[in-house]
Amino acid sequence: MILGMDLLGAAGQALHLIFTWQYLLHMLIGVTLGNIIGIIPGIGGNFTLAIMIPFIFWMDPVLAIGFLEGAHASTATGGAITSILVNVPGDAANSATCFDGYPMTKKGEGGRAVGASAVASGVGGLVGAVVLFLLLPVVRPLVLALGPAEIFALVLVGITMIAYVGEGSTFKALIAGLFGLLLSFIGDDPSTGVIRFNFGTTYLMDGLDLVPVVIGMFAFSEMLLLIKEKKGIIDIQVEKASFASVWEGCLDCFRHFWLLVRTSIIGTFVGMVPGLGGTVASFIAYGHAKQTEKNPETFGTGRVEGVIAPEAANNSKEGGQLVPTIAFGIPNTSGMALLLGALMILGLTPGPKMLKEELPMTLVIVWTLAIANLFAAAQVVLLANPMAKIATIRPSILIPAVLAVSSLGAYAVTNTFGSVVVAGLFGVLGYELKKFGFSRATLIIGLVLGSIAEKNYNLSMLLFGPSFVFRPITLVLLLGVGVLLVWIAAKGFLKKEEAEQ
Amino acid sequence: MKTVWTLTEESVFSLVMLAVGVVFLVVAQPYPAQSKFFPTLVLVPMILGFGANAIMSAKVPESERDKGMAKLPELGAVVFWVVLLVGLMLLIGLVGSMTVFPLLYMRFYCKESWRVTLLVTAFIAVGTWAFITFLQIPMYFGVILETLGF
Repeated sequence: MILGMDLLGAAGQALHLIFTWQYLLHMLIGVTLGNIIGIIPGIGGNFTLAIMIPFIFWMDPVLAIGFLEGAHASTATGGAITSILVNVPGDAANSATCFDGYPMTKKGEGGRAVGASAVASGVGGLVGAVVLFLLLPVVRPLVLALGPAEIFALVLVGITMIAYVGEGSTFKALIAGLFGLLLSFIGDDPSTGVIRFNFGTTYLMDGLDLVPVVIGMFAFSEMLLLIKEKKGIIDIQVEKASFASVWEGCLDCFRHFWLLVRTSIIGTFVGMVPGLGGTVASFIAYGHAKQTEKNPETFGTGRVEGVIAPEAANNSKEGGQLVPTIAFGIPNTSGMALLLGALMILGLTPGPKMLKEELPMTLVIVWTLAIANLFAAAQVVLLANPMAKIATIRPSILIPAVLAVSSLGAYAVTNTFGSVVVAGLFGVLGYELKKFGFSRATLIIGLVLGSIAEKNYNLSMLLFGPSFVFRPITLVLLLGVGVLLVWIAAKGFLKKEEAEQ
Repeated sequence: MKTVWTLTEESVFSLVMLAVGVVFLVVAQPYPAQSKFFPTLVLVPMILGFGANAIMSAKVPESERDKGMAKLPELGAVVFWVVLLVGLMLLIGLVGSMTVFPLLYMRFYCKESWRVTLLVTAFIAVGTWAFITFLQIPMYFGVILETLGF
């Protein structure tokens, strides 16, 4: 009860903090950028955060959260437009929307599908925020009971789980994660004062800054992958949507209200599972709609429910993903790793401290999630046609503009040329990693979690000695890591056997 | 299907990453035990992993034997544009590089019209100047101008 009162008080304080025109302006800019970037196929939420993080250094934390979280939350909303109108998903999370969205366009109902996707996204995001708020009093006492030994074990579980359930080859995801962990050890070791792996440079003495690495991995490398494309990313005529049909789609969401709520809740809970991002959430929600709605055989021919379900889920997953990120300080996707890095830049410490001393800021994130999703939905409903045209932008214009913003952003982080070099190096590395199917997400998560794991390990050794591994929760979590690793190895072996047969 | 061993782009990449791992491992050796514990714990499986991947990716179907390094020029183009951008920033500074780079890329690589090229270039250059001015980032003029005493 006391916890609930704390939360309500903090929610009121947070509302007071965000009730300014400056906050609304920053969030609106973030939402607009998120929607625009979401529309451009191939570059998604991580790219959005990568190019926006350099701007937050000069911002008040509340404004920065509105700006960043607003953008990250709305990327999936904009991404649905091209899924529906031209059958090219703006983001991987919008792939399932193509199944019924594009057939609706072919039937002349593209506007209706866009309207339905926008409202479903808005309501989905809102449900995600509500679930996040309701879960805070549940996880808060649990989180506050965790010590360094438990956090160390939890970080190990997080890394292993992500490699296990992440996209692509588990083996390659693990190697990339290990490389990310290695990078996190560069710089000053706080336990001994030794400067590690700086190779004689002063730039690396404080460690590898997350921002230039992220800019390289997600902004530079995406542009480098586009270099060979000289024509437009989408070279076909984009269908126009009338406002009346868009409005009809908005009303469809209320005709299928319970499906909307169910798939939003599915998205939120799928979002909590490490490694399962918006793509998995939207496919599960689509499958649920097909199983539970009448005439399942007509799915894929242009059913509005086939648009509502995945779009609600891929926006509501954000609320779920924020639970482990805020509560435990353990990001479960690369997007959350970037957001966690951004929160650290703002002087916030996700984990127990965030739920204890920085509760109003935590609630600012919850409010932002709710309001930004509604803003993004309204923007798509009102501006669907001009926004759809963004998808036809030529890479020849996009690439120099993005590379300029990215390299300036990298430079601005430390005001040194070293950050630009780091962004360039990681741009080429990210290009190669993506080309060969190595997960860039696990690398970033490794980079964020490595130093947290080491710090908590050293602290546990200091407090309890080697016997810290026998603390009940720690032991259970470490056994979980062991079981997961054996399962990963067995799965790989079975797959190989199957392929050989 | 008959398979053959050949050098592929992925196996070369894995070997490069393996070499990076070995360098880190060697560099870590003089550190105190506490400081090298975690890096070593991570480096050993990482090196083994990249080694295994180098071997696995070198085994390809016979029909793909000649495709192993076919896409290397693509990587060359990528590296060229990154080096050019970073090099320009170093030599002629922030605003200068953000004017020359889009011009070179759009006009001479993508064959955009002069009108579009100049319009986008001007937009990027002004945007860069505004970014630096409004966020009060120390202006960097590049090695050339700084050597000349500007």
